[in-house]
Amino acid sequence: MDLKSIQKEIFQIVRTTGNSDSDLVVSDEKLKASERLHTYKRSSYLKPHSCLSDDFQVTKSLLGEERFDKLVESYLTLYPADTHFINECGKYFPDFLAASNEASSYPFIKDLSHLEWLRVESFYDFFNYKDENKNLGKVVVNPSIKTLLSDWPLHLIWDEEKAHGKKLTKVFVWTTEDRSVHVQAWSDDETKILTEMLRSSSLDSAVEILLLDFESEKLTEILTKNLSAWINAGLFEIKAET
Amino acid sequence: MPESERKTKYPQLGYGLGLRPDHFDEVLDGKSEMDWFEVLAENYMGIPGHGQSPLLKKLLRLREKYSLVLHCVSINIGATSPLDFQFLKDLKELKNLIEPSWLSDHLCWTGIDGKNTHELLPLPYTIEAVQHVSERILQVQDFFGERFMIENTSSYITYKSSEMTEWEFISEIVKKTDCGILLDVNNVFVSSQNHSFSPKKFLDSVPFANVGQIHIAGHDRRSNGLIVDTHDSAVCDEVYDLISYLSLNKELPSIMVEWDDNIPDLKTYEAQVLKVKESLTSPKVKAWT
Repeated sequence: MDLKSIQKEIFQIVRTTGNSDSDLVVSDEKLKASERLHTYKRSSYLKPHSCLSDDFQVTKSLLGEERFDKLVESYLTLYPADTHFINECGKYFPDFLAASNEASSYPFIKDLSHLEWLRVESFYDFFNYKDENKNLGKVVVNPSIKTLLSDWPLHLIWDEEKAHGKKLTKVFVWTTEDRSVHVQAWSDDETKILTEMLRSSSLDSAVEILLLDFESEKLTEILTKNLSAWINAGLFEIKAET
Repeated sequence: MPESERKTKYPQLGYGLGLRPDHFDEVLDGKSEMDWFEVLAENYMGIPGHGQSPLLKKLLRLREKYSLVLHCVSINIGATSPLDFQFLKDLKELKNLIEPSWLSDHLCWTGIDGKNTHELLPLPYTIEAVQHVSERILQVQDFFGERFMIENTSSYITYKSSEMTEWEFISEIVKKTDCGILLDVNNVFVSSQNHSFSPKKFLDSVPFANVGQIHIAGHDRRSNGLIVDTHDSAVCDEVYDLISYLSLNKELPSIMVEWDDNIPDLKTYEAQVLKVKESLTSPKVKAWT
C-alpha cells in the first residue's frame, strides 16, 4: 500500500468513532494494533473536546456533561478540524447544534452557542486594534465587537439563573484591554443609537442620521445617559480631530 | 549530500526551555537562569491582527535580551497532501520578525486533504516515505533559504510496511537533504520502550553532526504499558542517563526542556535542564570528556 493510502486509512481510524483496528499496524505481545491506535484516537478527541468545553461552558452546563460529550463526538466526526489552530475547532458547533435533536428541546440553543462562539471570536479580534486608526477619525470602534440578534435575552444568562421569556434582543459582545469579554444588551432605542455610533465615523454624523428617527430632546437624553458609559465600557473612543 | 556541501554547524546556545505564556513576565523581569528560549510558532500566528497581540509584543521584548528558536507542530512535513504555503508564508512573516536562530518541526504527519488531527502521527519507515519527506524538506529549505530542523517524535504504533528502523529513516533523510536534527531524547526513550529497541543504539546511529538541538521532557506511563509523550511531568532518570551517555563521547548541542501541561513554577521548570548543566560540569563528567 502506498503512503497516501496508508495516511487515508489511519486518518479515518484516528478521527472517527468506532473500531480502531487496522491491518497496517503491528500487533505484538504487549498490545494489539487497535490498542496502540486508540492512543492517537483518544488524544485526537480530548484536545478539541477540552477546547469546546472551555468555549461553550453555558451550553455544556445546559445539556449536561454526558449529552455534551456525545454531541462533541458526533460533531468532531462530522466536522474534522480544517485548520492548524485548535482554538478554531468550535466554529461550526452552533450550526451543528441547530441541526441536532437538541434544538427541539432547547429552541434557543443555536443562539446561545452562537453567542458563546462570538465571545471567542471577540477575544481574538480585539488584537485588530490598529494604533494608526487612533489618528484617523473621531470615533474609534473597538474591533472586537460582535452582535447577535436573538429571540431570547441571552445576555441575562451570565447574570441570572432564572428563566426568561422570548424577547427580540440585540446582544453585544466585546473584549476590553484587560482581556475580559463582555456580553450586554440595551433598550431598543439605546441599541439603535449605539448601533449608529458604531457605524459612523464621527459623533456629528451619527447624530445627523439619528435625528431622522429621534426627537432632539430624546436623543440628547439617551446620549447624556449612555455616551460616557459606552466609552468607559470600551465599546469605542471619541478622538478629537487632528 | 556530500560532506563538502554541508552547511555550517548550528550555534551553541547553551541551556534553555520551551517558553510558555505563564512565565513570560518573570523572564522579562530577569528571573530566569536560562540562556535561550524556544517558542511555539503557532501561538503567534493566525490570530487576526497578531501584530497587536500582547503576547507577541512581549516576545519581541524578550528577543532583545535572549536568543530564540521557533518550533512548529503544523508544517505537516510527512503528509501526502501538498504543503500549505499560506502557513509557510505566515511562518516566514513571524520568522522575519523574531529572527530565530533556527526553525524546527516534527518528522511526522498531522492530517491530510486540509483536515487536521492535531496529533503527531508517525510515518512508515519506507523508501517511498524517505523520498517523499526529503523532497518536502528541500522545498521548505528553499522557501526559507536556510536549513530546516526535524524532530524525532514519540510513537505508539509500528507500520507493517516499514522497511528500516527509525534511526535509519532519519539518516536517509539527512543524507538527501542535509537538514538539521532536533534530537528529542525523551522521545527516543518513549519510543524505545513502546517498540522494544535500544535507545543507545538509536543515539549511536543518528548522524550526530546534524544534531543542532536536544529536547528533554517528561512522559506518562499508562496502565496498558504504553508510555505517552505528555510533557506534563518532571524529566525521568532514564532520560538523564541517556544525556550522560551522549555526553561521554559527543559534544552536546543546545539543550532545553519542554513542559506543556500541569506547568510548574519557573524555578522547578528550569531545574529540569539545570540538572543536566550541573551533571555535565561535575568532576565525574569532566573526567569522561
